[in-house]
Amino acid sequence: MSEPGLSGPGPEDSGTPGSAGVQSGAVAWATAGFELTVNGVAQPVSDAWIGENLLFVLRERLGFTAVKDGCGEGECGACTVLMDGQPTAACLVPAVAAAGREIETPELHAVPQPDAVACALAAHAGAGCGFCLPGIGMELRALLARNAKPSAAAIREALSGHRCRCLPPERFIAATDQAATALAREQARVQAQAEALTQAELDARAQPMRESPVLKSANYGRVPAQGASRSHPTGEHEQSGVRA
Amino acid sequence: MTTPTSLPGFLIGEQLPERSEDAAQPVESELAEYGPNLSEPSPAAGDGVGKVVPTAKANGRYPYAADLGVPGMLWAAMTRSPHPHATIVGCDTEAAKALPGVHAVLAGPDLGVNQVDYLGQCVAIAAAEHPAIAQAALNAITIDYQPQEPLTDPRQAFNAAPIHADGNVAAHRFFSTAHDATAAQPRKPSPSARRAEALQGLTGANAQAADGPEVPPRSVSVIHGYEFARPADWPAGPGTVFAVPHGDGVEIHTLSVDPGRDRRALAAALGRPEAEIRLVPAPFTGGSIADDADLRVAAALLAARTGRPVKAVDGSVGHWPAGTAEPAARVHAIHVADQDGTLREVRLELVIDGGAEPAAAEALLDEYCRLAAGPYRVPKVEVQGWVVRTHNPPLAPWPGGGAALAAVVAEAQMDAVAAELGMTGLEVRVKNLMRTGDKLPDGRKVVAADMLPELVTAVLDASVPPFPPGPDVREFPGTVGRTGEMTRLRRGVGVALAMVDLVPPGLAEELATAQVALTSDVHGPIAHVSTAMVDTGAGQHALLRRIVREVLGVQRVLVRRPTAPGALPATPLASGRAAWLHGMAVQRAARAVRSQALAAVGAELAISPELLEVRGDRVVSYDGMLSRPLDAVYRAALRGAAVYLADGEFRVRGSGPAEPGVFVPEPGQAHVAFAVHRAVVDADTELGLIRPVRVTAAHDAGRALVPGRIEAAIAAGVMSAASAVFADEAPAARAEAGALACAQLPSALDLPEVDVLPPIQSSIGELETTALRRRGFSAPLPLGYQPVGRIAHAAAAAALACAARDALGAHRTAIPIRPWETGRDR
Repeated sequence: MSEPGLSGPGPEDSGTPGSAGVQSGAVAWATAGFELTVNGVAQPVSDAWIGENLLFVLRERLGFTAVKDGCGEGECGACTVLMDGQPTAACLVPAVAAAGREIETPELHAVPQPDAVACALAAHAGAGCGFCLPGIGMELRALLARNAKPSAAAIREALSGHRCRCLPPERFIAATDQAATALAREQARVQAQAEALTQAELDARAQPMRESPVLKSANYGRVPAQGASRSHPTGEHEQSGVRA
Repeated sequence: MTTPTSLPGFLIGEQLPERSEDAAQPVESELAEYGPNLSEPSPAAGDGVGKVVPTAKANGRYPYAADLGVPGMLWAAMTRSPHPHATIVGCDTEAAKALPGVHAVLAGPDLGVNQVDYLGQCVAIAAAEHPAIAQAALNAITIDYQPQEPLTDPRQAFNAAPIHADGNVAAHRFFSTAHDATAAQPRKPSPSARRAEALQGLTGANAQAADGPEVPPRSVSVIHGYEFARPADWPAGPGTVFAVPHGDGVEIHTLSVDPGRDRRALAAALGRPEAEIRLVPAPFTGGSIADDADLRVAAALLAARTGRPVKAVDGSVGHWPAGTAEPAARVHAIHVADQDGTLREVRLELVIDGGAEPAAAEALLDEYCRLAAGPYRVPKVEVQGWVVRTHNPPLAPWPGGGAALAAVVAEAQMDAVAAELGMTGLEVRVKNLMRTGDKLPDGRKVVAADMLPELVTAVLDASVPPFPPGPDVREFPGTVGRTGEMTRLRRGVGVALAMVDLVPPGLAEELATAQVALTSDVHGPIAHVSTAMVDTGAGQHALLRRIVREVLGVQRVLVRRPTAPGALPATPLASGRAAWLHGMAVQRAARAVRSQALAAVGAELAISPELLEVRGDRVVSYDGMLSRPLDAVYRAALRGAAVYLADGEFRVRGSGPAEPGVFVPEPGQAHVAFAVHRAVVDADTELGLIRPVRVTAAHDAGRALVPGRIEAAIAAGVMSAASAVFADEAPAARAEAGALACAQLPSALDLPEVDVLPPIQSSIGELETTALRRRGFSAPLPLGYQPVGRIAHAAAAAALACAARDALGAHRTAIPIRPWETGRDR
């Protein structure tokens, strides 16, 4: 998609957002060439208007349409991508500012087989319109990466930047639980495989460090949760880093 | 980017049979590659959505209109009027047209707009090669407005000079079940005395009316004025329109629940014959998304003008100018009750601000007035309401419709009556519960209300979340940030009853048609269904497949759209009735096909084929005496290339003479669906924080053909109700920024959990009708139809509002409820 007659002679050296203004009537049409790293692949972008946000470039220039355009003002979360591992609203990031950052879109997790999060979302949250699901999926992947067993409240907090008006939060909590279980099982399987592979190597390996119980009780001296299903502020911190 | 086709792949993807071991996979499934092998059983297995479509959604591969695009397409942009009422004096588009990259600019008179009638009316559109250039072109347009004095207060509409040739009052309803009134007769509009009375009531809300109804002593009257904010128009980013010029006509890809209606409207707006417009519905189910007719017209006009594909994304920033602060509906309610809590009299008056196009609000008014008193036995009800025309934006579709308005007001009044008498709200509700044969305000008798006590007890038996919440602060009102304090927490519980009129008397004839073909291929018998019903991704076609499977006993059912747009005629269907009408049309067509296919075995058994049916794997006579294996019957009937083909149609009318093939309720009878919800809300009254904790829903689901769909529909209704009751928008802030940033919709931390109780099925199937009647259930509508989502919204909105009032300890009458506002009535 090019703008004949509009694009200035933008410098093609990727990574450095240069600009070349073409003064045409009332608009100053400045374009830039840069390179985005999307799902680990370098994607050169040329002749992009410097005002374009990451969402527009991903969807319309590079064809990553799994990143959805919901509101364009950072409220609905449908355009969430991971930038250097952090969930980010792509509509609020100027595309040129994303050059040199590691960008992850839902497409990465769709092939060859949908990952645990996509499967869990499909199973529990498929009855709605689905427009928010890719963004929620990215949010949940980031959540599960920093907290392998998030509490219900932690999941709700992570989803509070996503506007789903079709399904109640329990569906997403159930989906996250299923994905967390599947990831844990997968991790256990990989670990068991490694163990079976070389018993001697395993003996040589240092045991994983345990969290200090003293530290734990010092930080969270509150009353423990009253029921099994009740959420627990210590939950995510206890478990954090397991899947790092 | 996908090149649009008239038959997007998702339709084919959905055709996969639910149980894959029963049938061969259709080879042409484009989406099959995304289908996961789910290792764990899906809890949503029964929702009819299957696995392929949800996985495509979760991966972002589901083809929404916004994801369509072709090289060389143009981008549309739209300017909305900043004035509510103005004349367009001049219009200069030369500078805009001169911009490089701009292909078309249409403004003011080019669009046929010489006069602005409401805030946000579309006054200019442009198409350019980049969305930013299209926006720049719009900025370069100069439009000279001559602003005029607007009429924005609906209460002034009665006395103000007419702003339209049809006058300011667009609709009026009056119903009374007074002792002397033999039948409810709509009275002539504009009775000045009543109007004055209504206005007096509306302005002096909550003042004890000195000239109130004469009541015997020892009774209490509760008088309140309720205000409902304009339903928020969601920024419809997903409501993108993609228009492709197509020979003489134009092809429009957009979300559309009723393509027939939208196509007709589009043809009228463009002034072109209907045949030139091809509307391809793109999937979307977001119930609260109002599709934007302006955007469709703009995209179609620009595509026709430029001869290139045009994409119109409904950006929300600066999309609608500042919303009006005027409530869209005001209700003045008087409930009179005896000391023991028995209701004696209800008087309600309602003014709806229909905005610049008030005709659309008439159905809302009608529904409200017919259901106004709620599912309670009231000896005397007097309801009247008006829809008025103002210079405000046209009313967006009201979530939940008139039923939601009626439920919120009636339930609030029941609580107020209880508080006045020192009783519990539940006591007053149970005492006045509607029974079969009681009259609605319009004089119709309710056919069946027997399931009401069962629904109420079901809700009361369900568990309540523990109190106080926590220890996690994210379970407190206010959650993170400004968190409620444990010592100030109050819990509120609200129980609300709601009802929806299934076939209102004013309903014009609605029609749906379908075609079913039964044939066979190498894998065995297969049924093809042709329907105009759109599957928006919520499993509508699964419902049709389920119906055909049930009638024909064939596992493989393919659902497809009609070949030509006019092939299967259908009238516009009102919200909630589409599944019923299309389902019935398919059922009738399938039955006709079954009669044809079973003709031979009928002759063999010496029984009319109409009396044969399929039960399990056998063809059985109606009395169960004769049977044959289904396999053998179909093998014989489908030998060679035999095809059995039949059409089916189903019509519904609100009133008129009964005819074969048309469902008309008996005169004076009302088919009503009920739901009872209980909401639990926690509040910190000092900080003005509120958090809905749980909504328990008990429904009469009629007949649950696809149970998972019912559960999802109820949950969606509760979610939209929570948004309607607790979303607040500051009108002043909205002037500055986009719609969503200021809407303050409840986030996932503040949304209630939904506990859907197993729905009562008042209509198991047509065979069991007699048995059900003996058990006291209603005569079911064909197919056990119940509009579950609408009634869930109504009941949940009323229950959440009641619970919030209970928690705050104040009778708030403005919806949405703003907990931080002080005072008894705001």
